[in-house]
Amino acid sequence: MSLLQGTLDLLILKTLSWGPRHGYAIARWIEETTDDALKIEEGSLYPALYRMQKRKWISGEWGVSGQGKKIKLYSLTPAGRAQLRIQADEWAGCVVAVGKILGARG
Amino acid sequence: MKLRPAFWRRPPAEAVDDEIAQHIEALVARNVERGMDPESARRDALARFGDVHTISHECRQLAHSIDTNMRRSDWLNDLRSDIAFAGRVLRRSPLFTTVAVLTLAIGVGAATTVFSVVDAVLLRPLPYANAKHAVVLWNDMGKPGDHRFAIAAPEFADMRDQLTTLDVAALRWQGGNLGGDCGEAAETCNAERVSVYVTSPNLFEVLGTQPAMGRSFTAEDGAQGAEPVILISDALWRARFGRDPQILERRVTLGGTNRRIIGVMPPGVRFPDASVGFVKAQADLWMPWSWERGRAGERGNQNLAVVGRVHDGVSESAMRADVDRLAADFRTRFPDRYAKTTIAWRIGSPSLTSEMVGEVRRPLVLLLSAAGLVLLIACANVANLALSRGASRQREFALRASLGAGSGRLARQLVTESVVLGAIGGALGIVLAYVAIRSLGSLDAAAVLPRADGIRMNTAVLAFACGISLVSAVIFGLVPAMQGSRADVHTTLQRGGRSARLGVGNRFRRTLVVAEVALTLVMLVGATLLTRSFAALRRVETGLDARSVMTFQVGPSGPRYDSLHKAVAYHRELRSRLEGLTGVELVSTGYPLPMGGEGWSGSYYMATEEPGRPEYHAEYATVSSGYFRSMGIPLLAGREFDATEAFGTPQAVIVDETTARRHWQTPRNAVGKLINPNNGPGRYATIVGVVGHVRNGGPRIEGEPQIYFATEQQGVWRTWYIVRTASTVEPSLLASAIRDAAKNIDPNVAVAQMRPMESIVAGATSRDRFSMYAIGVFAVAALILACVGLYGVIAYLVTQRLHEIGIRLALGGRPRDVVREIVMDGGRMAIVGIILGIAGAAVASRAMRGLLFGVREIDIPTFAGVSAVLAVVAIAAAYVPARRAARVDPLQTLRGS
Repeated sequence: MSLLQGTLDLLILKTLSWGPRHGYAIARWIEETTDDALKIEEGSLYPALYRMQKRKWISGEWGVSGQGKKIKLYSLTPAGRAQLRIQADEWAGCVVAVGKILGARG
Repeated sequence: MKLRPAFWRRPPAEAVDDEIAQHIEALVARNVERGMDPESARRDALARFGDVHTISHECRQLAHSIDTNMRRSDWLNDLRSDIAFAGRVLRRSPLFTTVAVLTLAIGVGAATTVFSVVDAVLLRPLPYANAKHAVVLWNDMGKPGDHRFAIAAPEFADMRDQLTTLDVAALRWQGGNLGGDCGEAAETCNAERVSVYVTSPNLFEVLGTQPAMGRSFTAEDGAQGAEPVILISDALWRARFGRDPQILERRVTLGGTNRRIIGVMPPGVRFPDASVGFVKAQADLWMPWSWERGRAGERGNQNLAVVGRVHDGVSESAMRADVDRLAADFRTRFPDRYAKTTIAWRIGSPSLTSEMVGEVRRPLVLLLSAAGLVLLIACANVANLALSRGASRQREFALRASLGAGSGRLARQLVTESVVLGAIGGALGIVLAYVAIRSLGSLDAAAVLPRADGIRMNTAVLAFACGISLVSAVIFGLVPAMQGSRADVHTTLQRGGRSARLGVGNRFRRTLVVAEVALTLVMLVGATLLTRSFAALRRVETGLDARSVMTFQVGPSGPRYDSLHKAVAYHRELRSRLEGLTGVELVSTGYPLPMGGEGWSGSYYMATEEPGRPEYHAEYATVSSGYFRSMGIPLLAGREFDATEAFGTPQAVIVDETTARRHWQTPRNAVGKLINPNNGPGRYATIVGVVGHVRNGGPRIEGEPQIYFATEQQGVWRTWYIVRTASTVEPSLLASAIRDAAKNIDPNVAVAQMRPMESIVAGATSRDRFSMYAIGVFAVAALILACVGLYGVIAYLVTQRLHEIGIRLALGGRPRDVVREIVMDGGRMAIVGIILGIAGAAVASRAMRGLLFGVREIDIPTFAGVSAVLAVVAIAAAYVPARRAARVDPLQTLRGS
């Protein structure tokens, strides 16, 4: 299953809505939650993360991890939280619409 | 400010690579944990991650742009917090802030006001595309002083035919009665005296401007038999025609002739917009003049102003050579006129711009320098105050530096503070300038400065004000910033905040005060010299008594006045009606009016000295009977003109005392003598009376001998009326009665330029009054600023020495000694400043030589008086803080540290 345009953004926003994470953790969370069904190339997370940073949906700060390593943590901004709501609604609307089409009888 | 981890500023590309590498390492580690061998673990991780190169490239670009945005917003945030902090700091010391803001406002306001004048008069281009290439051509008699004469029509025709590097246009002023343009409603249709220029049709082509509406003149306009047409100015279109859009359809009566309006010139075009030689009045409208009509005229009848446009690419020297070639041709053809050895005749060709504003360039530059000085003094003051504060705030800076604020950051904070201060001071200065610009009108700026109607607060002036505020702020902000950021943390904290750099700071501060005192002295001397000049001018006897005299001008024209006799009859009628008005004592006429701006002169010679007759030069005037009594000019011998004088009687003249004493020693001896005032061979006039000399050009100018002709013998078209009222009647109250009297004779003849004679006399010195007030205001401002500066510095020095003073007093030192020492300290600075100032003032007063009257450039009483005043003020400024020092409670001071 390939990812629809923009869907990755939605997934990342959703992931971060539970709290700050670094890139690797986001990839793991998507993998586990979806049972690896989406099969995303993990590298493609990063351009998406930077793009969303630029749009100020998320912010990235360097900090120190529990093991004392320097890691970059991403967290949702208020703008990102609003964006998550919009995209989630759109997605739900889309699912309903597609469902109706598929359920329709000729 | 939010603290960021130090490694934030790592290059963004590096951070991207780190992040990606970490991710891949984490994947590898997970794979190894799951039992893969390291090599396949890495291979799998890379496959899972995707194309590292492309991803990293994309991310680097994004990261870079994020970083740029971040820096920008960081900078803005810092700025915002700096400004907020500066605001808090300034609010915390309201006295310092108020004094600094007012000081700056005075400086910026003064400089901005003067700049607005310089901008309107000197900088803004004339509203003519060809102004840069335009010159004015004169008959230059080569004598010192103003010996330039107008051009005669045949001379102009030769210029037009023979000059190859110039296109020339000519114009001649002529008053006119504009009327008859209001159809049936005759009672609303007041005739109006307008300023008309008769011009060659190419005038506006030569100047390079087009009508805003309608067309300009063509070569056919003005020719014999062509339809009479006129071009009107925007000002006339507004004032008289209410901006009627149908104006081009309308016809007007000008001097009795019906004329069609063919165009309206753009706003601001009143050529000549400022005096060009003897052509002084701004135009209301222009009338075309035929080329050919001019050729027939006489070379002696010089009445045209000639403007030339130098062709593109022609150098000034080539133009000059061309003009000189024509002059040489004149000399060959008319040696009697142009090649006389007594005159060094040539054709002058100054640029149009220098003709219009050249005269005021020097005074304006002087004024701008004065404003610059005031601004400098203001800057010095604020720098001084800021410096004092900078020193007393060293403890704060040292503390902040020890907490990790970089020296650049601290300097930036100080500069922000001064920029905030500069912005507030500048804004207030702009308000001051706005008020000052508006009050220029009451100082009669238009009478003093050409193009004064263009003086206003515009974008250029605002930009200038903002610019100087900012530059001043940076200058006075940087000095203490440099000091503050150099503060040595350790010593400052140890010394409990007392200045670590006491010596250097104080030397600089003292230098500033000395400079201020010196500059103030220069300004005060300048202002005093101008005030004394003005007082001297006011004391000069002009030779007439202007009190209770009303003057105005009337010139009947048009078909009803087609002969001189009809005009004379009109004037006789008007004079008798005016004499009948209540409150009027005496009415007479005369032309030109003393100090009225118009001049008339010519030569004369003595009957006794023929042959080989030397020629003398005199000012001429034509006056009626009763003129000298109504003008309050004393009769010294003989009689005034009276009923004896009439057309056809032997010519009588009256001369002034100067003429009489020059040739006959006493006024009495002159009566009955014969002179020939340019009458032609053998036709002599008899001197019937001698009157006092009048300074026709104003109190500054002694003037030449004077000869008066009798109106009754010659007749005049246009003349001035002199109405002397009873001393109990205010002359201006008669204005409407006079207008009604004229209107009842003929509503088409306008009464023009009605003014009390006193205001005309005052007008003759309005330039002096203007310079006096202008420099005076600056000098007072400078004095205030210097006082503030001196007081501030002494007060600061005292604050710095409180500790020491306290110890001295505790050890039994006498307060009187403390006061004396501090006052002496201030006195020393003042004396050095005064000595330097005297040197500066000597240079400055030499530069303003042309503005002075009746007072020497190096006027010892002025220099001594001003120095004394300044010394007293300086000592007073030092005494106040000195007293405070002497009242110091030693215990308190010692405990305080």
